[in-house]
Amino acid sequence: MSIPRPTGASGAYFAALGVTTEVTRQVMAAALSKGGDNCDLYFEHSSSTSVLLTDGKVNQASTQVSLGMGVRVRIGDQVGYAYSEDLSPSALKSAALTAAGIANASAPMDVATPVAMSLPNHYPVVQPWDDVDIGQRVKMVRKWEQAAFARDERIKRVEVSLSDAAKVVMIVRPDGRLVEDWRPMTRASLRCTAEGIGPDGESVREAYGYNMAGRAGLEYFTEARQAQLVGEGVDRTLFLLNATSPAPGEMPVVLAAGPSAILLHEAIGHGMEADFNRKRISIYADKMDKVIANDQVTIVDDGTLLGARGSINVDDEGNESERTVLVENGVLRSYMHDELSASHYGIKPTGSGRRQSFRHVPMPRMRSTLMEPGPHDPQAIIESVKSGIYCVSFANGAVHIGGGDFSFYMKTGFLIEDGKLTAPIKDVNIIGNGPEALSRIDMVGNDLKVDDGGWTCGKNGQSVPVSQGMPTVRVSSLVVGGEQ
Amino acid sequence: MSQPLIDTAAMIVETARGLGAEEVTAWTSTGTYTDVKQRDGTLEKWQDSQSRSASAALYVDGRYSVHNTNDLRPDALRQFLSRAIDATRHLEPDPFRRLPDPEDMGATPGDLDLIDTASNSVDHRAWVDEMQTAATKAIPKHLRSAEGFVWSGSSESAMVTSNGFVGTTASTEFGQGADVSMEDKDGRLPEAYDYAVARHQTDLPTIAQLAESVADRGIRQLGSGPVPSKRGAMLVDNRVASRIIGTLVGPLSGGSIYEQRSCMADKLGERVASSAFSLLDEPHLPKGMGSRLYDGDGRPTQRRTIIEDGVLQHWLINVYYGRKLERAPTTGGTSNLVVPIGQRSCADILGDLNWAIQVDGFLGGNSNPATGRYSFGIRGTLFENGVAVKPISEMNISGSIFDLMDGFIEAANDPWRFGSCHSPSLLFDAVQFSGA
Repeated sequence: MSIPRPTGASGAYFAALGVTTEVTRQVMAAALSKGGDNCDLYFEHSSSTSVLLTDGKVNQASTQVSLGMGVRVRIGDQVGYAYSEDLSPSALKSAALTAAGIANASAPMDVATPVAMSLPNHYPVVQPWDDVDIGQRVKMVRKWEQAAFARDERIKRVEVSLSDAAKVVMIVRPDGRLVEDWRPMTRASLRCTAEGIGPDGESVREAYGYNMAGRAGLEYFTEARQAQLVGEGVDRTLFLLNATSPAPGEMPVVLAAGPSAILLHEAIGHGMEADFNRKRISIYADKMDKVIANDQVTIVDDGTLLGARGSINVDDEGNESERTVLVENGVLRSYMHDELSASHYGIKPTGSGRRQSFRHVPMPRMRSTLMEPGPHDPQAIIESVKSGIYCVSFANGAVHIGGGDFSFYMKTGFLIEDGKLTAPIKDVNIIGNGPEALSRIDMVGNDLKVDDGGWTCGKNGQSVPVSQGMPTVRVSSLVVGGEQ
Repeated sequence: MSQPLIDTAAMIVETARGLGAEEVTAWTSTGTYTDVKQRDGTLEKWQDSQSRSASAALYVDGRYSVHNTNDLRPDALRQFLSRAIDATRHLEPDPFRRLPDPEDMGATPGDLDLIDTASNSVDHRAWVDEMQTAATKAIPKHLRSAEGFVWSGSSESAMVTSNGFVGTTASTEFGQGADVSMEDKDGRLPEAYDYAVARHQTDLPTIAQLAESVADRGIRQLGSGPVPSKRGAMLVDNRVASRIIGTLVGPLSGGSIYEQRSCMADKLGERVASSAFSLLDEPHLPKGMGSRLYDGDGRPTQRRTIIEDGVLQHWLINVYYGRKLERAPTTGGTSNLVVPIGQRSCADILGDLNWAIQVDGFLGGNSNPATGRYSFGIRGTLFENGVAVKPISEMNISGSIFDLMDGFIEAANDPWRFGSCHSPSLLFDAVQFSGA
């Protein structure tokens, strides 16, 4: 069962596990005993529950609990890191001394007594999951399964999962900051197998589905959202039955509003994470304040969207989350910074220092990456293309930070012929170069949509939840996979 | 050595049984790792990790659930198991969920030589410095930045079931590599990397070999771009052949077969590749990264030819899906996947082709296990008559995995042994490339 929101003052949750402010002060003193410039302690207690319906039965559940503390010592751009899964003072100090091994000076730094800071709350929860028993979850997934079968007789199998998780994190810093954040999450997924007749009259079997996620409680599943889960899960699977592969080659690509922001995430977002720029290995390393896109293009990374999967009240270094403008009317305005890169550039961090868990070092990461709406009517964008493709849904993407080449995998879409959507298409990879693709975004729609998919971003072996959103956009040319 | 892990697992089994579970499997594990990175002469990151974990699969009133925790304080663990058992009672029964028969369980006898006792005396600081310095020196021109990385660690695990199975594993691993960012004429900073991992430190390729490989890969990235769309030959580099092998193996899982999400559902005993292609699962390779003596069900592992001369011989079926599919189980997952090596070098193979793209990296892409269609981003080098004529990037390959495998011509004689997929470079004909 999910960990309930702590009711005591900030710091009280871990104090009840023996981690008092005095203990944290002693651990930080150990971390800085060899003269590091700075340190952070990151305490985390997380739990998750999921139930799975498969083969007509809700017959599998899983739960997970994790507890520990990570300690990082910094000296210049160098980082020493260790963690402990035992919260006893001696184990915490031992981890701190291990992390301190990166430094070799003799003068220890002063450590202030931690004082709790208050935070805004970007994920108010109305009906917490700890009040919802497994039986109620079983009824929910059963209802979605039945609705999926009832929607179309070509649906032959349905698999549904419902997960919820919560973590309490506490970050303590030698300058006296102590912050505590409770981070809820829920995710539902519906997968279908469908059988039908393909475009050439042949028998076809396809599998696909839909998922949605947010930082919320049971109230997340409004009637509308439940209908969306089932409707999209079924309809997207059926769509594949009639879809074919487009012809391969370079062509105009129109990206539908919403999940198409995977283009932003891959082509632009990663390259604007400041660690890559600090190391001078990002293709955007020397582009600050330069024009990198059409003036219709404004891109933000926003950690404050209400209830979004990518939102955080505070980052994992203890800096408050914010809305960071990355590209303003085509001009590069800011990278996403953690403290290490911010101190390198002599500016304030943007609250982008995130980590997968206490076992991992924080680094600059995206939160919710969005393109602001532009001037164009989405229909006019489609009508502007003589021959190309229109991408609707996506599976995954990837990027090379320095070379700038990126790709994303289109799961469903349409051909565009003479300004009209025609044949359904599926399963092609689309590849391009980030700065080139940015410069080729020549029409931005007025229909920004934040996608509610359960996106997870991977970087250097760490996964964090993210969100993304975009209006309809035309890219004048990208290389589309496909078969002749 | 693993006795404390066995004791904890046995305690979990005992506690869960006492709380009402009929059958229980418990897994416990610990791991210790050090990983170190150095960039351009400066130590960048030093991380020491010590982790532990415990999991339990519970069979309660004919119902089933799985749970994981690292909070092993006795009171917390007891409370965790108690809640897990209560939660399980709310699920629907599953008659196929029960432990395997005890006579089918056990470990294959033998020693896989997975432990290198040198792991306690590694000087990571000197090692990473040597790795990064070698990579930097190997690239006299066009280098923006070089990072060396090394790691070493050891792990142990135990598995205990309520019907009497007790198994343990222990292994060490050592890894080293480098990544480099190059400076291209047009301002791009293309990156390249290479690395290797092995159970014994002395089995790693030398630092000089790896540095040379990284340098070669980096230099080959300069001036890259797409060429026009075309069907043609593709030689997939041994280090990345696992991407193709994985696309082939994914749909073989019992779950996807049973759920009818697999393009391999009606292919058992059928041809799924050209007769030149075979694929084996080899769990008993000494020092293998995927080697093991028992599988996830606690059953002895055995060597299997998954695809023999192009014909599919086995699905990957664990005990649960074996019961549902009414078939004898094989194993739920692979260990070391091995593609037999061929006769010729990559240079000889490329020398016979008037047009071929050697793929040395994939960028994103995906495959559809239900239909077997794939579409991957690639980078590599275009060869004409054995001569490298253009570095390739921003191109895709797409098609059906069955067509791809039907076009398999030959394996080179260059097996890559530093991972759990041991494949030589693989040559395919008539692959659809999309580009400019």
